[in-house]
Order: sequence, then structure tokens, then C-alpha cells
Amino acid sequence: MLLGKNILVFGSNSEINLSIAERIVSDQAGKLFYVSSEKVDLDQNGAVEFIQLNFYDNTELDRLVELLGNEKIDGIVYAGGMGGVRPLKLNSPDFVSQMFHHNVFTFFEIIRLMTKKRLINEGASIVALSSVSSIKGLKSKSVYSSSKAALDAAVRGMAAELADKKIRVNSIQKGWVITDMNLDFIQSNMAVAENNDFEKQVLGAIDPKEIANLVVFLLSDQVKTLTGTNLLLDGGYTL
Amino acid sequence: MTVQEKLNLIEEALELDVNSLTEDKALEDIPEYDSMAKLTIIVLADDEFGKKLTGEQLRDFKTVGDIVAFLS
Repeated sequence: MLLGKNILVFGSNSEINLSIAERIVSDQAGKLFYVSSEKVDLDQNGAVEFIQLNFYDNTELDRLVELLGNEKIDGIVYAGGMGGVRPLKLNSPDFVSQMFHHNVFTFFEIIRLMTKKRLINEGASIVALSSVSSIKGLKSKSVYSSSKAALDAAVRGMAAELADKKIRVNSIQKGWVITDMNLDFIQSNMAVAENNDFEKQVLGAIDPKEIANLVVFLLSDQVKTLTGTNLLLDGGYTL
Repeated sequence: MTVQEKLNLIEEALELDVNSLTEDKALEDIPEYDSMAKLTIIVLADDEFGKKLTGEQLRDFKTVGDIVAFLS
């Protein structure tokens, strides 16, 4: 589905992000540029151009644009961001600021630079990883939820603005993923919660490969008029 | 931080009156010690003391003193 397309992925070394990269490579994309501040173990026989830099730092993003040179991009995946659960009284300004910087502001800066430098091809597709938390009221997740809601809104505005270049922008509101179970903060949250929130996801935890499949579908030309949407992939959590 | 200061921090986390807790107080006898209070303790341990407290460790705590000891 991605034959010959150059794709730029921003992420970490999480299993979800690596699944996305592997799926893109298996789809015979042109070039896959994988940007991460963490060392990433991506053994794809040289099919991935790994760029190690801290994309949450605006100066580093300028460097990325230089590194890309004249490479034009057909697809961008913003899989960066941070999580975090906190009761209201511990939502310090620093915490709120950091959350929005990672989950929203950095996405804006990436798209600003890429459009300003005209590095995005006509007909390209941009996908941001959001969360079902964006549309659910959850104890201790007000900041995280707000940041993801802002990301979802950003996607709609960008979609309207980039439509004349046939560039599509969408987000995926994902629910619990199998690998989330290993995250410290989720474990802690589960351990103290009276009710197991996971049980509300009636189809169970999501396999990272499913997220990757949906990302690739959105990046492809299979859906040329799907734009400005927040696609819910939540295993029935919000039913 | 003194033991009393830690007790005051826990009181604040549990939204209890100042100087209302003692180290030998059983956690199960504190109605305010609910899931959100536990999460608050986890975040406080990280923010104020740089200590990672897991949900499992927290479940093993029996008294207020156990929390104070962890924060030492």
C-alpha cells in the first residue's frame, strides 16, 4: 500500500512504535526515516534510516530538517508523546507544560517546519497517535486527556488547512494496548484501583500490530478522502 | 525531612487535618486512604523523594509508619 512512499516516523523504542516501523517496511515503502531520542533496535536489513535526536527540542528539529535535505515526505507518523497519571492536586504547572509539550506542541512544530520548508509532498498523509482518553473522563488523567483532545483538534484544523494540497491529517484514538500492561504507571494505577478499567475494553487489549495496520492504511492511497477524523480503535472501551 | 514532616505530607495527600496521623495508625482504619490517595502517595514518593513506589509495594503497607519508612 505504501510502495515508493517516503515515510517519516517520530517515536520511541516502544513495541507499538516498532510495530509501525516494521509494518511500513513490509509494505515496501520508499524510505523510512525513524526519528527517536532513544536507541532503537530496528533490524530491517538497512530499510530504515534511523535518526537519533531529541525531537522534543526545537533546535534538534531544525537539525532534522537539515538532515532530510531535499528528501520529500509522503507520510508522517507522530507517535511521540508521554503518559502520566496524577490526582488534580499534583498537576503542577511543570507537569502540565511538559505533557502538552510532548503530546501537542512538538507535533505543531514538526508540521510547521515541514510545511514551511515544503518537505511534504502533495497527496501526503499525516497520522498522529491519540488516545481514547481524549473523549473519556478518567480519574487522574485530566492533563493527559486534555493534551490528547488538543491533538485531536489540531488534526482537524490542519486537515482543513492542508486540504488544498491534498494532504490528509488524521489521528487514532487508541485504547489499552497489550504492551501498556508493562508500563509502570499503568501497573501502579491498576494496583490501586478498585475496579479494573481494562475489563471495560470488551474485546480485550489491542495488539500493537493492529495499530500499525491502521496507521499504514491511513498513510496509503486506499482512502484519499479520509481526513480530519479521530479514528477510535478502543476494543469497545467506550461502548 | 523529619518524620513529622513526612506525616504532614501524608496528611496533606489524604486531605486530613494537620497532626492527625501517627506512625502506628493502621491504614485500613483511615477511610480517606482510597485509590486516589494511594496514587497521590505514589506520585509524591517520585516527586519529593525520587523513589519509585509500585502498586504492589503499596499494598503491603499496613501502617502509616510503613509509608514513612519507605520515604526515608
